[in-house]
This record gives sequence, structure tokens and C-alpha cells, in this order.
Amino acid sequence: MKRPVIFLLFALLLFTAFRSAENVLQYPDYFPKPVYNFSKKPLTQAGVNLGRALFYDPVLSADNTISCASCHSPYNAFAHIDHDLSHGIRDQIGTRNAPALVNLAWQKSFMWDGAVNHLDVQALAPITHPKEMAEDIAHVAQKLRNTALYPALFQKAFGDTSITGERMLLALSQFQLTLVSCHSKYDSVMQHKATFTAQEQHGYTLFRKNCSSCHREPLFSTYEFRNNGLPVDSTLNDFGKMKITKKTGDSLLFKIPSLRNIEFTYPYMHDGRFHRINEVINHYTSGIVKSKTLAAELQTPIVLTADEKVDLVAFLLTLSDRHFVFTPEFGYPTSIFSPVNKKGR
Amino acid sequence: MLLFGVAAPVCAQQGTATLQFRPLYNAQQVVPGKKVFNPKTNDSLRIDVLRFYISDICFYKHDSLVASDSLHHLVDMEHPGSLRIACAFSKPVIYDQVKFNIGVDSLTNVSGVSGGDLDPTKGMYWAWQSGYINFKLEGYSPQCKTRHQKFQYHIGGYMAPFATLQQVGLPCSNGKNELQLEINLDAFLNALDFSTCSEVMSPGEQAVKLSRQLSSLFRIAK
Repeated sequence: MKRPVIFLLFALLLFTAFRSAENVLQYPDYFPKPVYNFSKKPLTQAGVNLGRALFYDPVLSADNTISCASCHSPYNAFAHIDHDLSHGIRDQIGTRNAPALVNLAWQKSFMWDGAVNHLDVQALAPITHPKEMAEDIAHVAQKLRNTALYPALFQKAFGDTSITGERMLLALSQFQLTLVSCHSKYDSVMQHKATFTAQEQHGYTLFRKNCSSCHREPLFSTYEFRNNGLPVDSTLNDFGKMKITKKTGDSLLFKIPSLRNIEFTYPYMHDGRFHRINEVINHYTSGIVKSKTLAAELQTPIVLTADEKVDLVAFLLTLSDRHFVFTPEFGYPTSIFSPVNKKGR
Repeated sequence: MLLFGVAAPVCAQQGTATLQFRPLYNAQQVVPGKKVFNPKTNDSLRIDVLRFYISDICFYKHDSLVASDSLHHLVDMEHPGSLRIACAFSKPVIYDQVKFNIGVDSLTNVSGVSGGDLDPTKGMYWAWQSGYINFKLEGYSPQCKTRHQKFQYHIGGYMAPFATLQQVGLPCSNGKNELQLEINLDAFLNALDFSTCSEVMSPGEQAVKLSRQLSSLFRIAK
């Protein structure tokens, strides 16, 4: 009698394991373990759907004109093309380049200066910044309660229609956590499904020699903070992490950005000063400004010939992930918005 | 079912310990928006906002812990109900000392978003730099050189060396299960120079300096 019971228990265990697997973040086996604590807050499809609706909804801004996606567009791999500095309501211009949202589950702090310590509270910054969405989180919750759409979406995600700041932010995290980029040519090569061309392979060798200590594979960042030798822009006087920690040793330190989808995420740097990958590479070979806090990795100049620069760019373009950019599940959620739109939202 | 019904009241025998806060200025109850005489500068001032977190409330008897409440409670002068914190325990609590924190502990500050009194809609979370405001005091004094002569003290910061969480420890020998706690805001405000320090709204040295005064504002009413 005992054996069938054990078998049944085992089958049940397998079944539940399989069931929960459908909501587990998918990523390749050569990625490290995520930083985000999914055991406390597991992904749910209803949570992701709600977060996606919020992400694309301008209701989050004071005058209902801009959404998260305005500055983090899926077509730019969730960065903001052509805008060197963030662009808020009433055409206001902020002080930093909107970063690309990608592989957020692996990041331990957020913003160029690490001002935000957890993904779940990150969205508060752009929502409340007077030059971005200029809203108040309590007022956003109030606006959402008065919609036909959201009480039902909150019900599905959280079990009842109550709309709180906590739930809004958790849902935004849920959607953003799914923004995993792991379908580039580089990934195919890592999975032995493709091979680099000779030029890309040479670029990869150069990359590993000169860049990968900060832009560490496979996420292409250590997500640490460095002074990468940019001259200070006197129109901004932005000293990065020092503003947060008030330590002089943190002067001019900014977060190392991932290079994944670099083809789509221009302009580059915290102030968007470079518009082409070539300009970035030329900065590292001939533009470094020495100062007390300059990264140890950049104390010795990077030397690349013109041909080597071309090969390096060829490699960097293998980090482009078209699946990430064009997959409908990351895009504007027509299917969530449209049933209500038909009734006149 | 009947048996269960009879047994229930016995099981439900509980202890409560209540903290009732009374914000005072020169021994007068503070009324939001009402001007009071400031004897230090010989003019009037106004307190508009007083909002702070009380957390980790611990009750001691002979220096050993007898009961504790790990929740974060938002106390807001504008909502009189919030000035009263009732801690419910499974058994009656007899104590001779109470300790609690003013503010939000560092673990909560790095654990992402929370709900209830810690929900970011409560206006006690800094958006531009992660972290809770532990203690918020706003008002008006003609001594302030700011716009509309307003003072704003948003005291927070959880990271060393700018951590601002403060602990209050008060002996309470009378053994009552309701404690009347006075908050003597005059001690805080009269120690300030409004003309040079009327706005502190970010973590840093000034916030730490102000936070060090907070514990001494709390007293058991006689």
C-alpha cells in the first residue's frame, strides 16, 4: 500500500514543481543567479500584466501625457533614442540620460549614481521627479481607482481591488523583471548555436582584453560604479555617486552600464554626450581625463588601431537582441487596454 | 461547536499596552496650523505637520524583555487616531520600562516596497534617493528666511555615517497599561536657529545632528 502513496506524492510534487516553473524567470544557464528575491515575490502572469499596463500608461504622469515607455521605449531596447537627457512632461529636460531597462533582476542598485537601492522602489523616482512625470504616488493611486480598467487588474494580480502604492510598485517590478535580454548572437554563440565571424571573434578577443573587467560577461556589466575619465560637463556639474554618499572618493563615479543592445540604446554615458559607438571607443583610447578617482582599470591607456576598433564594434553588434526589441510580450499591451477602450475608457 | 464557543473567551484573554502620544509646545497641546507664542524669539510660530514612525516597541520588566511589537506605526498629528498605538499581546504585560525606535530600521529601508503604514503613498518615502523619512516636522516662523518663512525638517537616512534611527528608553514604574507620552517640540524647535537652519530634507550631517535630539523630546506624562 505504501508504494502507490509515495508514487502519488512524488507525482504531485513533480506536478507542483512544473506548475510553478511557468512563472519562474527564464534565463540561460551561463547567467548568474538573480539578485532580486523571487522567493519572497514570485512572478505571476497577472502581476506582469498589471505592471505592463502601468508601464505603458501615461496616467502615471501629472498631466497624463507620458508613460514609462516614453523614455524607455521597447524599440530602443527600453532606452530613449536621440535624447541625451531625460525628457519629461511639458517638454522639460532632466539632468541624466534615461538608461536602458534590461536584465534588472541582476542589479543591486539603480540610477546612474545608485541612489535607489531596490527595484521595487525605483519607479518612485521618475514618477515624482518634477522634470519627469511630476506626479504624486498617492494621486496616481487615486486616478487608477477611478478607471474602469485597473481595479479588475489589481484584483487579478493581488486578490482584491485595493490599489495601494506598494501594489503599484510591485506590479511595475514584475513586468520590468521579465525584460531579460538573452537572445543576441553572442548568446547563440554561448549556446553553441552559432559562431562568430573572424572579425567578430577578433573583436571579442579585444573586448576581453580591454573592456570586460567592467563590462563583465554575460550581463556586460559588474553594475559597480566607476569614474571612466569623462571631462565634467560644466552645464551639469554632475559628480555622480558623491551626491548620494557625500564621500569625495565617490566623485565622478557612475554606474557601469550593460553593453547589451548597445546598437539600439544611443546616446551613451550618463549625460548622453556620445551618439556613436565610435565616439565611446575613441574616448577610452584618447579621451580619458586623469583625476583622483579615475578607475584603476583605466590608469593604463587602452590602445587600439583603427582596424581593431572596427573589429571591436563588430563584436559589440553581436550583443543586439532583436527578439528583446520586437517581442510582442514586452510591447504596448493592446490586448489589455483595448477591451476597455472600446467602451470608451 | 458549543464547546469551542465556550472555550473561546478563555483563550482570547489578551494583554494590551497602549502608547498615547501628545505633541506639546511649551506645555500646550499642538494644534496643526494654529499659531503659538515663541518665547525665545518673542514672536509666534506655527506647526503644520508632525509625522513620524514608531517601531520596535519593547516592554521590559527588571531589564528583561517581556513583550515586543515589531510593526512600524506611522504617527500623524493630522490623524488623532494615529497618536494612539495599541499593542495587543497574547497575555497581560507587566513592565517597568518601554523602549521604541523613532524611525524605520535599515533592513526595512533596503527591502524594497512595503505596505500599510510604510506604503510610499503616506508621504514618508524619499523618491529620489531610497529611504524613509523617520521624522517630519513642518511649520512657520517669521525667523525663517525661506519662501513663505516655512521650516521643513524631514529627518531620515539609514546608511552609515548618516543613520538617523533613534531609540527612546523610558522607565515607567506605575505599571499602567496605557502610557501617556509627551512630545516636547519646544525642546527641538528652540534649539534651532531658524535663520540658518530651516530646511533639512536629505540624509547627511545636519539630519544626523537633528535626529540626535529626538529621543529627549519624549517623556512620560506626570
